[in-house]
Amino acid sequence: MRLSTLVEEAARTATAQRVSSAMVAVLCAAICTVTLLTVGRTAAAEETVLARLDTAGSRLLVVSDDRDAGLVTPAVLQVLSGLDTVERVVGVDTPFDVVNGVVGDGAERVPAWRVAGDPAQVVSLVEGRWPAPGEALVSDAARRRLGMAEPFGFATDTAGVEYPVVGAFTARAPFEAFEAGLVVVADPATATDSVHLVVTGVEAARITEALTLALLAPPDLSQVSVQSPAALADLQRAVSGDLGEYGRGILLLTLGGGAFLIAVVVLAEVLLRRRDLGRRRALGASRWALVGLMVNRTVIAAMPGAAVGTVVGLVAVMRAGDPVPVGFAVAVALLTVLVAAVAAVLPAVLAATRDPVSVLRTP
Amino acid sequence: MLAVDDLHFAYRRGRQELFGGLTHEFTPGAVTGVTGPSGRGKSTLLYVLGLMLRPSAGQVRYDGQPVHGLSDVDRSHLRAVQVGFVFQDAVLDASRSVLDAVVEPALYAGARRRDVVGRARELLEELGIEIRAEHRPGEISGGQAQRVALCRALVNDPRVVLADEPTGNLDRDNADVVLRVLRRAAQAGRTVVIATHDPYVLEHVDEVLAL
Repeated sequence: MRLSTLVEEAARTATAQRVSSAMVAVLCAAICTVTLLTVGRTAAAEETVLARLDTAGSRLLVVSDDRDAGLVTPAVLQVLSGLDTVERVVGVDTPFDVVNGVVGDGAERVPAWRVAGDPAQVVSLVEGRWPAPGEALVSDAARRRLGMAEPFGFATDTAGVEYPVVGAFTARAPFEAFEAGLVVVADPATATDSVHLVVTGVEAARITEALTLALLAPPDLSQVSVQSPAALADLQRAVSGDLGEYGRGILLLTLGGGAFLIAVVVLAEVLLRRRDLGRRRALGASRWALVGLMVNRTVIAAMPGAAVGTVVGLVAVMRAGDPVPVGFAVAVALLTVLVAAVAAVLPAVLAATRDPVSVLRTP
Repeated sequence: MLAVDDLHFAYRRGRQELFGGLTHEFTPGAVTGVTGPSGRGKSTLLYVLGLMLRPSAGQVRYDGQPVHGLSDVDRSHLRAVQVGFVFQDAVLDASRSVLDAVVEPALYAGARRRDVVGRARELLEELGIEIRAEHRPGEISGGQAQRVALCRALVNDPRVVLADEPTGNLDRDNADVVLRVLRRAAQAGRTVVIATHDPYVLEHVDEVLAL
């Protein structure tokens, strides 16, 4: 029997035997909908949680030179910026107070951070130009507090050092704290108090932390303090593991239960249509042709059911506010059709191996 | 071309043996009636000849070649291509059309549906039921159903036609139609074997094989 003929004959049989085809279709639709409403929502929740854990704020690693031992040198920053696990890196000094230089002492104070490295790693320029070493950018909030009409002028620290303000910035995540004041570009030859690294993912935090400490090489580990997202990486793994395990359990239960019910429907059809199958054998269908016919007709009945069930499930989860990735929904539909095919194999083999003569003989 | 040598058959080991070492060559172009009391294996012989049952001992030969040792796929193909079956009660699929029923064996023989539909309609026309081609079996009479079964048995132009009590459920007029068609099939050079206990059918056969 030709493969194309077998598929065509399976389609005609599926169309002719509407009741069992409809039952297979309904079961497949139910499998897809239930899977999307349970596993799909779990997967969406897992994705949301992991996305939150993966924001820049959750990926910030800070190593501070607590005793001002000059550990965070420009050379160290240079090496760190070349690591694959590092997205951005800057050296940052402890903030100090500045006032509007025009107003002088008595004016409102705002904090200023001396930043070593490329300032574009921490702020975006919105007006003016990028500052040279010793020059500063001011945030909009700080400009208002300083009483500056434009983001140009100069600020003065408590020691009387002047910092020309050459433009305005908005802070990039996770450096939103800089919105409170000024960012001063540090002298490229000087060390800073701490190094701020945005790692590529929380899972890269532990290795980056180890590399950073190795580069800083403090004589005594008590000289440095570390704020690391490594604990978040452990949390991420735990959340991912728990949700994944729960989802897999539900998926297996749904698919297993669905497969059992589909197998029961196909088996019932085999038992009810023994004479039909015996006739096919008598007319020249091989056992494998019979198995192929039964499996293909089950798949043909399963496909529209899976499609409808997937659409219904997608709409339901979207209305519930948990959008499931379309790729996941398509995978569920394909998996359901595959499960239907596998579930049909055993009853089909049973049908193919039954003695056709006993059902064809008329007493 | 169809023959059996020293044929024995038992449905289960240790159960009653049938045929008792039957040896017989069926004559191509003739209608052979297989008869005998109930339980002697008339229908069983047809299923053995049609390669649906394997003999316990002895062999079935097609064109001189023993075929009982062939694989299921080869036996099924041989059955589809060379054998046409007619059952007592037609055995048509209630959910498919008459035309689908006639086309069915050709599909198992490897033909495409579109290539065999014309031949199926010709056969239905020859037997006067072309008008029923799109009807379901439940919409035609028993006699018409048996004519459909005859068309189905002949659609692959088989060399052997095996009929198991083909007139058992028919009135005399419809039985005559069936016998005429089987006679024509034999006249075309086919080997036709009818299992029957009906004396009227035996009057219309060329050879009788009594079990």
